[in-house]
Amino acid sequence: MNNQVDISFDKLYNEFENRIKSLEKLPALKENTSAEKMLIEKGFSRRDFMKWAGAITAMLALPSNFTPLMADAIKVVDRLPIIWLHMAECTGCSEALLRSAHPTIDSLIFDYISLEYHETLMAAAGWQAEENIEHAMHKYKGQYILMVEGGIPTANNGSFLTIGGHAKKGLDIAKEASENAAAIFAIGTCSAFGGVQAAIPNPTGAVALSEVTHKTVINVPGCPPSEKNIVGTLMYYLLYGSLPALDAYNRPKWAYRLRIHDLCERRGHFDAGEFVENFGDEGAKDGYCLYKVGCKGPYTFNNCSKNKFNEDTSWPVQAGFGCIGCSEPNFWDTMGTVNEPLKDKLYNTTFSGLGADATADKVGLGLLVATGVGLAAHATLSAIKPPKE
Amino acid sequence: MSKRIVVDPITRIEGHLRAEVIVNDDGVVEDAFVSSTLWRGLEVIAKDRDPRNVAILMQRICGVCTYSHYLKSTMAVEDALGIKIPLNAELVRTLMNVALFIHDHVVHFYHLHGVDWVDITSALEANPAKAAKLAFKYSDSPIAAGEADLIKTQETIAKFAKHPQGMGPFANAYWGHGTYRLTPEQNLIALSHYLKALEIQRIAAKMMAIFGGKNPHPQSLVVGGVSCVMDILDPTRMSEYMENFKKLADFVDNAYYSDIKMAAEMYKDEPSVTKPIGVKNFMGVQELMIGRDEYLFDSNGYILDADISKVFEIDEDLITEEATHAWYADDEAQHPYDGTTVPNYTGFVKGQSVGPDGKMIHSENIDPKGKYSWIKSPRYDSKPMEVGPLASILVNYASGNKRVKEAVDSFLKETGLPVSALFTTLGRTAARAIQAKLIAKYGMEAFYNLIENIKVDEETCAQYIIDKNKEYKGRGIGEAPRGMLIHWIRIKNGVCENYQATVPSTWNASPIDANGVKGPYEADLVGLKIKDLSQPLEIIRIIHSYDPCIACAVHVMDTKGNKLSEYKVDPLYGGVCNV
Amino acid sequence: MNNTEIEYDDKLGTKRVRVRRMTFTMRLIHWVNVVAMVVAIATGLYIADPYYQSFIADDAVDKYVMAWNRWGHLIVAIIFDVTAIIVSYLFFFSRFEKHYLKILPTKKNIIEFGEVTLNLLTLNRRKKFDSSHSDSFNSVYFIIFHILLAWMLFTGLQMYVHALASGDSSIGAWWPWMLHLVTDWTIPFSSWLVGTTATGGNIMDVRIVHHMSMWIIIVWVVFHIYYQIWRTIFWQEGDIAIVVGGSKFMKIDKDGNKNIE
Repeated sequence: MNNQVDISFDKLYNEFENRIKSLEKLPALKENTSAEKMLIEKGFSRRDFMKWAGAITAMLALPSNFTPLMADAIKVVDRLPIIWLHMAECTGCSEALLRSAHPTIDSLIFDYISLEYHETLMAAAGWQAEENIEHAMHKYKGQYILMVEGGIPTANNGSFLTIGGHAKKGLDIAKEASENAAAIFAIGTCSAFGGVQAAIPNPTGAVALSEVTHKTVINVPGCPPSEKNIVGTLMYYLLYGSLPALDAYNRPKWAYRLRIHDLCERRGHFDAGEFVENFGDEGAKDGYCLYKVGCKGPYTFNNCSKNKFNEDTSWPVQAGFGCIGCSEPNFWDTMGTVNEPLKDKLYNTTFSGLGADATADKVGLGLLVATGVGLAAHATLSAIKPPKE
Repeated sequence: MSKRIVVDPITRIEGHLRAEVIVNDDGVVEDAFVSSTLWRGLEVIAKDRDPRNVAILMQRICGVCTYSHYLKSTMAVEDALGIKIPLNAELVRTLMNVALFIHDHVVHFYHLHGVDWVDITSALEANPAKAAKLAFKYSDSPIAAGEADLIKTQETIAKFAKHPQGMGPFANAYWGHGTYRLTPEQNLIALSHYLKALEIQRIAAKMMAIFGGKNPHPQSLVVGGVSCVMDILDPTRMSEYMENFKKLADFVDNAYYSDIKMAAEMYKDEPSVTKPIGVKNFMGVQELMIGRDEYLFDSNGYILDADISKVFEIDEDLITEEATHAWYADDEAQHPYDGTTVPNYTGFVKGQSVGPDGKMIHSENIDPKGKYSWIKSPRYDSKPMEVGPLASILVNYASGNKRVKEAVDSFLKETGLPVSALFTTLGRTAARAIQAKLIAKYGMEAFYNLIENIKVDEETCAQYIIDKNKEYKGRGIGEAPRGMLIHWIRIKNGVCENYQATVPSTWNASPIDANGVKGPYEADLVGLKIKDLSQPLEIIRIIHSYDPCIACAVHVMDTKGNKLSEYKVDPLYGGVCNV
Repeated sequence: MNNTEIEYDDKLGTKRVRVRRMTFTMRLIHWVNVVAMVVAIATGLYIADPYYQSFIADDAVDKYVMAWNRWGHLIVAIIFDVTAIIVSYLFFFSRFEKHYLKILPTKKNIIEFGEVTLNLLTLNRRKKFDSSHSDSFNSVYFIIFHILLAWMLFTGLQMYVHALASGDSSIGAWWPWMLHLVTDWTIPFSSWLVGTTATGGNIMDVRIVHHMSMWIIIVWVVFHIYYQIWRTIFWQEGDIAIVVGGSKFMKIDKDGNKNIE
């Protein structure tokens, strides 16, 4: 069994090596720079750099002998031009990337990758900004990585979003940019699944990026997703030169394979049957499980419970709030009220306005009572009018 | 012959915004229009949802002011249900708000607004040794402005600058523009702070995450209080906040505030930023509870026509919104409680404008006679109002808030500017720094009051019930980093019956109203002289000075009874249509 | 047919005959199902909404209230799995009674079904069918139960495999793969049942349908118990004893009519 694993990793190792060699042959987008150099200039020792490369290696569940290879890969990141589009969004995903954990290093990569177009960060505006995107799409045709933040409004022919002096529709820009991208990442739940604007009744007809392009889209959902997941997905593409293993919703398995619940720090209290009943109660002070105040961790696939946010500062369950299920499709409509357990989910269907389980229980009890009454009547009548002997 | 200039997209803001101006032969703006080009309709989505869900949903209006909407929306629900939240919860909310304000102002000045003032390419010519000495002119203990820091900064940028294609996010901007006023040394200091601020904003975000679980989009406010009781009762978490606060306060005092003084000194004669502003009415409300019923910015009111001798009381019934030039079907002025909203997109008209090389090219233009923006026009008693840090500072200054008065007076003294200088683009940018400085100075009072209170009271969340048979209405009001923010909610049958947000950028970026009166952005652009028509730096500098947040500004409002039930949502089409 | 044995003759010449109706295996399955169902309902309700707090002073790691409930729920699910497989095997291949012959829509079965129904509706005033053996009404009624049970198993397994979204499990990838293959259809079907059209089907629909199906099963059980008691009282053939001893009585009059009045 172990041999098998080793053999497959050997093969993978060779593949990676070849891939990095081929990337090294590509012309650098910027001259005289390498990520490693930049890091050292920024006060990072080579040791720190290797440590970070090791952390990324571990995150992608690769054996530790891949670390030097990972370091090599980081050195060729600048071969990847990136176009970042803003659709119907709130800029939270861009902000998430700026927060990047493990100080400055991710954001350095972010500075360092050739960010050709990013409306929140770029200095150029107006026609000059438009020139930048056209230039990038033309020059790096078939090579650039497209990262999209925000849902795509499609109602009214997509007129709910226009960008640029020619008032191009967001829908058309997204389609066009997808066409010639080497890889497409939908960053955040909005571009991955439609997100908040796509919640019922979805007034702008917002849809996921994958619904407007025929190309494969890797979804990195979350509202916003952790910067580690964004950077990790990018590193994976860089190394493998192919798409990562994806789950049923096209999310990379290395980040989204486990439930929040599976690695939750309060899981012990769940198993023990110790629950917070009300916010601020004794259970809340003791860190009891948040299941009864609406935690959606058992239904949500993400690595928050492992990786946390903001330089490992905290995550929603630690803050006593519970998970809202933000990396699941249509979570606004399927997960129910944030501070109520799922049993009280308001159904936007046949059971509108009532807690779902409560409704089902009412219907069930009603049925039971009706049956009971019917049977009692039947029994009484049977007893009063015994069959003729 | 007058020419049209279109700037779309306006980058380095939140959201999607376009500005169009018509300039005469001298390059002076005769008319200006601002249009938001994205509509998301979150208020429509809020309808029929559980009131406890609404704040988490409304938070997604914006990922930059990520906490403001969450807070005001939660407060609106609490106001409707008549909940008085525990003092601990109030103070923790303030601590998160303190982190937000400083984060927002720092990121805005350096990463969004900064390159309007700072020419990155010029910094390359600077003498780092001279710059390091110069830094002491503006601060007693400068941050990231030692000679070694500055040499490093210069080297980093040199690599970008040598290869125009390689400048990534700095490519193709208006470098070398005639209205950049800082010396190379000053540019270098500011640039070094630009890089340092990347780190500082991360610290500010971390401070919010200590109590909020994460940032952006923290997740610890619940109707009735806060959920982060474990963090509040944990001394290590509290000291983590305190230590980080010190770093932030240091940066605000010795980098941000000193850079503003530097900019004020150099730009005080630059007409494009000292031109008197267009709309001279300002409105502000109280914010940041730092002790029991004590607010850092404690004044509510508005001032008219730049007259700070008189502060008027706000009557919320006089707030109206109208859609004469916004892409909605209803044109008449309506109070938010009676507002209706039906999208009515008319698009742009074909025309010509100044292209990137200065020649006229084809473009899609705004039709100023028709509708042209997704932003409505809010007015107070038919008057446009500016909201934001400048408005807040002015209203508090005029009302005699001691702390604010002291801070403003000392700024004016240090820079030698008259009070009238506050009513300019420069003044607006400075007011933001003054606000940040005040928060850095007094924000910790909330922290110490919290510690004192925890000793006697550990309550963090009030209990409540939502009676399905009752009808509730309420609103949450306060200052966000971008200005006065109000969320309004009506609850019926236990679900959100109607929802509405009156957002700072809506006031500021509003299009022309029925009386032909322009909102602050547009009015401010009129009369501006533009040096180079193909490089309209002056336009984006003015617009950036407001810190636009367009995702926030664009929203649908409808708080009247059953109005929304008159709309039918077509499941196939997905749009809202009026029946 | 060696299911019958003559007990005794009475004065009128009516023979009372003992009829074997359930084998030991079938009775065992019945009672196992009863216990499993009670456990499934009690634990299922707790999992959906932990309706009691654990007031045991032990450390969290020592009491495992939720964990025991979930364990119990999954164990009875496995028991149901096993009994369901046995029952479905016996349904076709039992040498004792070929149930599937009774649900075929033959003229005879349809008439019998109608007659049993009429018997129930007329409060036993009309009884024109042979009650000594399993009738088609009985068979249909039990089929409904087993369909409900299978439905619970499929929806339950769907929720179980949802947690293995990565396609990995400690016993190999074949396991989630197989469960998906077998149970994924429950998502659109549940979605259709509850009428969620706007968001498309998802695991939440399966969850609520699983919960509602519990109530339908409870109602089924209530009627089942009532009907067995009612038959026992009014037919006077000792039907209730079947599930205990495995047999009931059959009366044959001197003309050779079986239990028909």
